[in-house]
Parts: sequence; C-alpha cells; structure tokens
Amino acid sequence: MSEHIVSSFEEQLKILHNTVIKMGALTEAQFSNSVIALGKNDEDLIDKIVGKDDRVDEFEKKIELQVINLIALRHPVANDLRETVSAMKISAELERIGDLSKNIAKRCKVLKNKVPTEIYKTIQNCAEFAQKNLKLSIDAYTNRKSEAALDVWKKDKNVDEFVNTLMEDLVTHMKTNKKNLEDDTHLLFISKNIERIGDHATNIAEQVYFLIEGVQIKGQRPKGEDKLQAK
Amino acid sequence: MKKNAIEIKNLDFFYGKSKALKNINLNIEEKKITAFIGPSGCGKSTLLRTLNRMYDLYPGQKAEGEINFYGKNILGAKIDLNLLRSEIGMVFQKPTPFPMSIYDNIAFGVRLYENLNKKMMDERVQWALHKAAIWDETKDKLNQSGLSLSGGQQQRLCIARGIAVKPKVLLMDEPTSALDPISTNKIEELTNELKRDYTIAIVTHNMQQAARISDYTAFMYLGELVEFGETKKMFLKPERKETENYITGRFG
Amino acid sequence: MMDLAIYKRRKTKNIIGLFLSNFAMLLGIAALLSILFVLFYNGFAAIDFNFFVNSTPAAGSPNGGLANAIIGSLMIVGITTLLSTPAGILAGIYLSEYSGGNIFGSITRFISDIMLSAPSIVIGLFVYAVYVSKVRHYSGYAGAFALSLIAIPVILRTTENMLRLIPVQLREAAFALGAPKWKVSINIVLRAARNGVLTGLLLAIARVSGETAPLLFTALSNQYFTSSLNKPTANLPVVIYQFALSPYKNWISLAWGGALLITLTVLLLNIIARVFLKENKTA
Repeated sequence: MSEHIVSSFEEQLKILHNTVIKMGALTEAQFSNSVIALGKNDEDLIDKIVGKDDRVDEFEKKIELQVINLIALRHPVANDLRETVSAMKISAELERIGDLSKNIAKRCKVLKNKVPTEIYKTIQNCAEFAQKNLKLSIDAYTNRKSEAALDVWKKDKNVDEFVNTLMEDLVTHMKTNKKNLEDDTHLLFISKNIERIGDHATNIAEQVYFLIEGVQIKGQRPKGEDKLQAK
Repeated sequence: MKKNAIEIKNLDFFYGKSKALKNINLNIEEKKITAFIGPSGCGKSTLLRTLNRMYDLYPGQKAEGEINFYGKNILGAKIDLNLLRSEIGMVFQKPTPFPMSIYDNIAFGVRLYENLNKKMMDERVQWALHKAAIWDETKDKLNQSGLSLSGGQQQRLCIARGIAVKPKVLLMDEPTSALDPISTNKIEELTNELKRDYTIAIVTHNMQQAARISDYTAFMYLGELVEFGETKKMFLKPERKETENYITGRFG
Repeated sequence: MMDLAIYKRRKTKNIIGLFLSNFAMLLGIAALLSILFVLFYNGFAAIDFNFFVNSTPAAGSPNGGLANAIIGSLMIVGITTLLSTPAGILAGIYLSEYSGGNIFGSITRFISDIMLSAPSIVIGLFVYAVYVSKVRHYSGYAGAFALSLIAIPVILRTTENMLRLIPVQLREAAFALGAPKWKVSINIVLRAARNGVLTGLLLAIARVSGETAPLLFTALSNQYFTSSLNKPTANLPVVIYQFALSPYKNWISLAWGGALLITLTVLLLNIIARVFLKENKTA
C-alpha cells in the first residue's frame, strides 16, 4: 500500500477506522447483553448496560470530532472522503443501536413477571438474527468486504419477518392473558426495538458498500411485510 | 444534447525527439469546464498549448494526430494560426497585461479582427470588463496603465482581454497559481459565469480547484491520459488506482 | 564548537579587502574630480554671450565664439540620430524576435560586436575611403555617416538586450489573441521595452557627440558658419582638437569652453537615460 506524503493523515484515518470498530464491538455487546438480561432479569447486568451507554455516546462524539477535523484540515477526497463520511454515518447508526439496547435493558427492569419461556425463545431468535446482521456489517466494515455488506442488506427482510411473527404471538398472548398487559406492552416495544436494530445494522451495511464501491446499493431494500400495520 | 467543442484523437506530441504526449483521446464538451490535473511534467500544459497551437512559436515542437475544433482539424497545414487563436483564447499562469492602458489592453485584440467605431469599442470594452467582473474596479481609470492594477485584477483584465474578442473556447493555464486566495476565489466564480457562453479548458495544480469548478476532469501522468470523466465521479470514486493516489495525495 | 580563529581570520581578510577597494575608489574619484575641476575652472571662464553667438575667430584675431561649431555639431548629431535610430532599432528587433539563432543573425551580431569595439579612427578612415575620397571634399554628411556607424551597433545591442528581457509570456499572450508577429514585436514587445531602448539611444547619442577622430577625416571643420552639410562643417570636437593645440590664448580658452559644453551635454544625456532606465525597472 502506498503512503500518504503526510503520514499522519494515514495515521488519522486508521485511528478513525479503529475507533469505529471498537464502538461497533461495544454496541454489539450492549445489544446481546440486553437480550441476556431480559432472559435472566439480572439487575446488575441491566445497570451495567445502562451505565455503559454513556461510553457509546462518547464514542460517537469522539468520532464526530475526528471526522470534522479531518474534513476541515485535510479536505479528504475519493476513498479518504468515503472513509471519513462513512465513519460519521456508521457511528450515528451504532449510537442508535446503543440507545435501543439501553431501552431494552430499562424495560427489563420494570417487567413484573418473568418472560414466558416460549415468548423469550422467539425474542431470542429474532435478536440472534439482528445480532448476526450487526456483526456481519461490522465485520464487512473491518475487512472492507462489499459482498458481505450486500449479503446483510439482502437479509434484513428475515429479521422483519421474524419480528412480525413475534409481534403476532405477543398480541395473541395479550388477548388470552389480560392481566399481563403491562409486561406484554413492554415486550412489544422490545421487539420493535430489535427490528429497528436490524434496520440500523442494514444501514451500516449500506454505508459499508458505499465506502468500498463508491456508489449506493441500487434498488429497494427487501422489506418484510409489516403485518400489524397492514391489519 | 451533448456537443463537443474539441475532439482530440490519437494525439502525440514531441519536444524534439522526446515524446511528451502519448496517444491522447479526449473530448471537450461545449460550454462546460474541463480541468486537467496531474503532477508537474505530466503534459497537461503541453496538451493545452496544442489546442491553440501555441507550440508553433517554437521550432522543434510538433504534434501528430487530430484535434478537431468544431469538426475542423486544427493540426492541418492550411490552418491560419492567427484566426484560430482569435477563436481559442488563452489565459496564462502569470498575469500578462500589455504595456498600455486598461482600455487599450482590451481594445488591442478587438482591433485585430473587427473595425468598430469609438462608441461600439467603448461598449465592447465595458462589456468585456463587466463580464470579467472587473468593471467596477476599473471604470474610473480606463486610461491608466494595466500594470497599475493588483495581481488579481491584472489576471481578470487578461481574462477580459481574452473574452473581448469573443472566442469560442478559453484555455486557462494555471490561472490562479500566482494569486492570493481571495483573487483566486473571484476567478473561480468568474469561470462559473463564463461557462454559460464559453467552453473552458483549465490546467491546475490545485486539485480542490478542479473539484470546485470543473464539470469534467482529466488526470494525466507521464504524458498519458490516465483517466477522464465527470469531476464528481473522479473525486468520489476514481476508476484507476493512479488517479486515486494522486488526488488523495498518495504517490504510488 | 565554533572555531573563533576561523572567524577572526575571515574578519581580518574582510577588513583588508574593504580598505583596498575603498582606496581604489578614492583614487578613481580623485582623478575624475581633478579633471572636472580643471575643466569647470577653465571652461566657465571662456563661456559668455559671445561664446554662443560668434563664429570661430581666425588665427591671431581676438575674441570670437563657437556658434558655428555648436550648430554644426547639433546638425551632424541630429542627422546621425535620424540615420542610426531606425536602423539600430529595427536591426535589434530582427535579432531578438526574428533571427532565432540563424546564421544571418549570428553574423550580424558578431559584426556589430566588432564595430562596437573598433577604434573610432578606423571608422573615420573607412568613411574617408568610401565616401570623402570619391566625392573629393569633406562634408557634414560624411561626418554624420561615420558617427552613425558608431551609433548603430550601440543602439542595436541595447535594443536586442532590452527586448530579450521582456518575458516570453507577454509575447505568447499577444499571440494567443491572434496577433500577427510584426504587431506583437512592435506594439507589445518594443513598447514594453521602450524605456530601455530609449536609454540605449540616448547613450549612443552621448557617445557619438564627443567623438573626434571620425570627424577629422570626414566633416573636418570650417571657420565659418554653414547651413549646408554638404560642405566641410565646423563641429565641437574637431574645433577643440585644433584650438587646444594652437599657440593662441583665446583659441585655447574657447577649446576649454567647448570641452565643458560637450561634457555637460553628455552628462545631461546620461542623467536622462538613467531616469528612463529607472522608470523601466519600476514599471
């Protein structure tokens, strides 16, 4: 690989890239922990998740500052420009994922009863899909693989479909167990959060594709039908 | 409808025996700005100087191939160079006001090919100075020497002089490299205005400038045209590694 | 560590060098001043109203002036200027703009350089041989012709040098507008170099106005006033030459006056030339 004349520019870009990867790892952990916390109702884990969200926010601010500095002082063009802009956009997506994970954790805390096993299993299934997409997106970013990013983008539909089934299950559960309405409402929100996390992971994949190819992915994102809205 | 002012086909250029341009193929679209970038000695200025056959002033320099200017091959033997240059104007790196008044600087070129009465000449001078965005600064001192102006003003005077003869194409050879940022800015804005009426080909060392003002960018390296395309594309995702290395400040 | 000894040695050398050059300068100035002093002292004593209105006196007769010689000199130098200016400037333009290193240009430049350094008496003899001896009488025209041969190379070389100083971009800028070559050369390049060219012209005139040798063989002199340059014509340098060597006191005095007049004229021309050159540099 050729070197920048100003070697610190190369260095700065590398630092930026690594910061985004670190932030990605942290948000991945936040998300998976929030799902674990939901199953175990583990107060300590919940507090830990809520506490660590500040670090996610710090990451985002740090990346934003680095990007602004790079744009102001280095006037990046071509791949440097795509690298810089992608870092900012990906960090914004990660920050949202962090928020949504924190929101899941907070909702765990106010649940009155333990989540029914069969429902938790479905939630876990959904979450696994979203987690996988998030991980693949971040890996695609780390390894700069546009095909991997394109795969994630195509799979967003699966998460949507799973979440739809989950929500249908929840609605059915609410109809039969009217005394657990409060808990079930939280669970509805949690599943919506998981769906959104899946969306954000797909956004990241799109951004990675742009970073590497220099063009946006063509066509409409494959979407699962939102059956609740349809009704 | 796209229309090309200049079409370059298989152009080779020689300084004596050394080949400075190798098989250049490129179209310059009408009423657009085409920028030529590349490291020093890549041949971008040489290419520009073939377009108005400025190289003809120097023995030992020759071009082979075809340069079609609205369909006419200007490398042909029967071309009247003076007429050609009245249709393809040029602005140079350093401002070159003639040693005469501001008014006469503009009128000099016009008088070569047009016989205007005093009133029409006055109008033409005002029109050109206005077009080059220097009328306000010069209207009260048209009789002063062109050399009395500042560097940036001198360069705009030279641009006014170039457009006063109403050429079809304006060639600019690093027109802002000797100017301060504010003058540079004015000239960049000016080129944007001028492209409504003129086709502009500009050589620049400043890649940001090429990015800011041009519609098309040609990247040249070692006498070859490495990449040519829309400026937006060139600065977002160039096709060739060499282009990317150059515009991002890497050298491979 | 800095070696102080090296520094001190250099400083001593510097002081010695400075002293020697200052001494040489003083020597030169002293010589010049003493010449000027004697010239002014004797010259001003000779200059009065009669000096400008009376013609040169016959041998032994008192009083008299240099009117005929002053007018004669002015006419000869005037004709010289008219002859040499266009020839010198046009040749200079040819060398700078058109010759481009061809053989004809090189030969012209070479001959012009030889003529620049040729002793002026040789020029005088040449004109005597090709003109005066053919028409069998001395004349002011012959004098102007001889002086022109001295002035042309000076004008030619300064013109060429001044034109070469004009940046090539200025020429290209004019060509880029579609201007033909002759127009670029005259209207742009010569115009840009006009102060320098004018300076060369003035220096050439200053140089020839003091030349004696070529005039001895061509214009000779004339005791009387003449308006025809086709006859031997009185002129300051030759009159000074003749009068200074004479035994008559009033002749010698007039010679001093004439010498002062020439000196002042040359000085004035030089000053004007310098002013022009300075303007050229600031422009």
